[in-house]
Amino acid sequence: MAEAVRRLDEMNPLLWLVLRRVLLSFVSFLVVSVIIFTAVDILPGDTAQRALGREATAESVAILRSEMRLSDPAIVRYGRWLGDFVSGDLGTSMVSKRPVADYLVPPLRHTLLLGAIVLAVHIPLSLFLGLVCALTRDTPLDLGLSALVLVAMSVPDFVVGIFLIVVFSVELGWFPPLALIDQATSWTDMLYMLTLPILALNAAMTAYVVRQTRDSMIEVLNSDFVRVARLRGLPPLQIVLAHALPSALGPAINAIALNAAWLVGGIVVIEAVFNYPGLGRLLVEGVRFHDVPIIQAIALILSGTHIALNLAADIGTTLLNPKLRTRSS
Amino acid sequence: MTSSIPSRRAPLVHVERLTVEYRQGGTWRPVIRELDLTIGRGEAVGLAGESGCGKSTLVSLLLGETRPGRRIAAGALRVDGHDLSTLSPAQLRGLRGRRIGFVPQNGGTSLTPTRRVATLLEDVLRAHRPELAAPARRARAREQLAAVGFPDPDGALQRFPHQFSGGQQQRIALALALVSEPELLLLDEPTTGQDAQIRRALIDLLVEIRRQSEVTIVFVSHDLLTLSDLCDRIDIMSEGRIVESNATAAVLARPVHPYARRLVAAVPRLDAPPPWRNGAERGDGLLPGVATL
Repeated sequence: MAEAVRRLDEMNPLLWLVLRRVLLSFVSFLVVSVIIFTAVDILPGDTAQRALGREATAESVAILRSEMRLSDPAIVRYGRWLGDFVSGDLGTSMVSKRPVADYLVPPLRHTLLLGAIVLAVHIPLSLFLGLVCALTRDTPLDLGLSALVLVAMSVPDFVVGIFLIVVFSVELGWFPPLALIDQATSWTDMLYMLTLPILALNAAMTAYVVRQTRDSMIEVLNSDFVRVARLRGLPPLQIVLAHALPSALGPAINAIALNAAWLVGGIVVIEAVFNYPGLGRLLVEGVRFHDVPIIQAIALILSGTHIALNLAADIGTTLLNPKLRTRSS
Repeated sequence: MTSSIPSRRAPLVHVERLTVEYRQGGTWRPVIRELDLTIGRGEAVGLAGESGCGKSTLVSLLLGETRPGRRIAAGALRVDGHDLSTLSPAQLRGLRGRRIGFVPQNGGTSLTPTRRVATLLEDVLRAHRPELAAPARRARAREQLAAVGFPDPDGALQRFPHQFSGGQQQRIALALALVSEPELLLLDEPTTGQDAQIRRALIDLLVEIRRQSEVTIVFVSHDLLTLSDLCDRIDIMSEGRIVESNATAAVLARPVHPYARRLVAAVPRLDAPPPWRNGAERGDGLLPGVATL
């Protein structure tokens, strides 16, 4: 085994590095799944009793316990739950008795849609602003932009959301206050409805990436290789985009991945402010009605997404850094 | 006023009564004082002197580099008749890389880590030799790498800087400086920190390059031995002035200025006995005796 690993590392260090990261992510996912299962399992009271409510008879509780096979050892129930989840069976809602997947798919689609649009705006915008701040370092433009993004980061996202609704919906009447995208008739209609949530989420997310990009770009612009590139007479735009930026992107990519992970989980507040039918709102409802399968499924999906995004950031950073993906002399 | 000996060849570099100051606290402190320097075409001039005497500042200024906290208080620098302080950024870019090649002290940190050697060389060619099409650029890059001693230039072109040793990185930096065939090559202590073998190989390479081309060389080093193998002339700087300027053999054989004499005396010689045997024993102050340890 050790010999096979050594050979793989020698043949293709990048493949081995990616494989190692994927394996580590898989282990992380297993650990998180154990934590989610245990956290729900050790909640005070009986799961069947919680599902049926205080008025339930002992007989009905016993029947439900038997149906849910709650008498089995925890390790057996964990294995069954994870196996079912991986094979696509997310369980049955304890409230409506319908498959969890039926509840999960539309909000998941909505959350992914909002997240994708937010990221499509967030990534180029924050990298561009970070780059502008670095290139105009310590000028009024840099100071102004840095102050603006810091203010946006410091104000809670729900305050930004409400502020946007008051200004752009109530006062100016430019955008709808609610993001009811099920009523959208076209893509443009949908984007119009999502404008304010996209703005609110970007206001909260952009500052960190702008700061990271600015700081790492300034460090790279002061490096020896950038100075020597200038002294070789290369065009300024090429120096910034081709020589400096790739070296400065690593920290920014990690910050973007953290933001994306936050977006999947932390979008709940903005979903509530704009009444957006996403995963966050479903999670809140699941908690309110003690619907354990829904809570577990959403928690596992959010954790899995978090791990997958970090894995993508790791691989992205690796691909950008030749020292990590190639063998030294 | 301090000056170098006048060059007998047509001057390529002409520095006239140059005074350069750095801001320290609230005041400007001179680092180069009324310095005159003339370098003829095809000459190889060594600039020697202690750290902080203004050697690297002079090289930086010959590249038209400006830095916050540094100013030219008086005088002018001309390369091929162009006063560097009057050139626009675009004109300076046309001069750097195309007509003036530069090799910094640390070859490794001067190479963009995310770009392959081929891309680095082609970047310079694209900027300064736009008439070359892509295949011609690649061929020129390959040819230059072979010229600086890479036996497998095709393999080297595909690798990243970190995949080379320190000496190889320095040779790549030299290839980058030479790829667009400049008239003036500035080397700022390229052998500092390198072992003797790498130093020797780099000097041999530069001697060979001189033999094959008309390139003018300014080689900055505090090591007179390194300069003696390559340079026609050595200028010794001290406290921002050229205090000695003469043909290499003359500087090494008959240094005149006290600082130049000290510098020449400090050159290590294999045939000379170690200083602690030269009328002195261990423990007399040169090296601690065993009893004092």
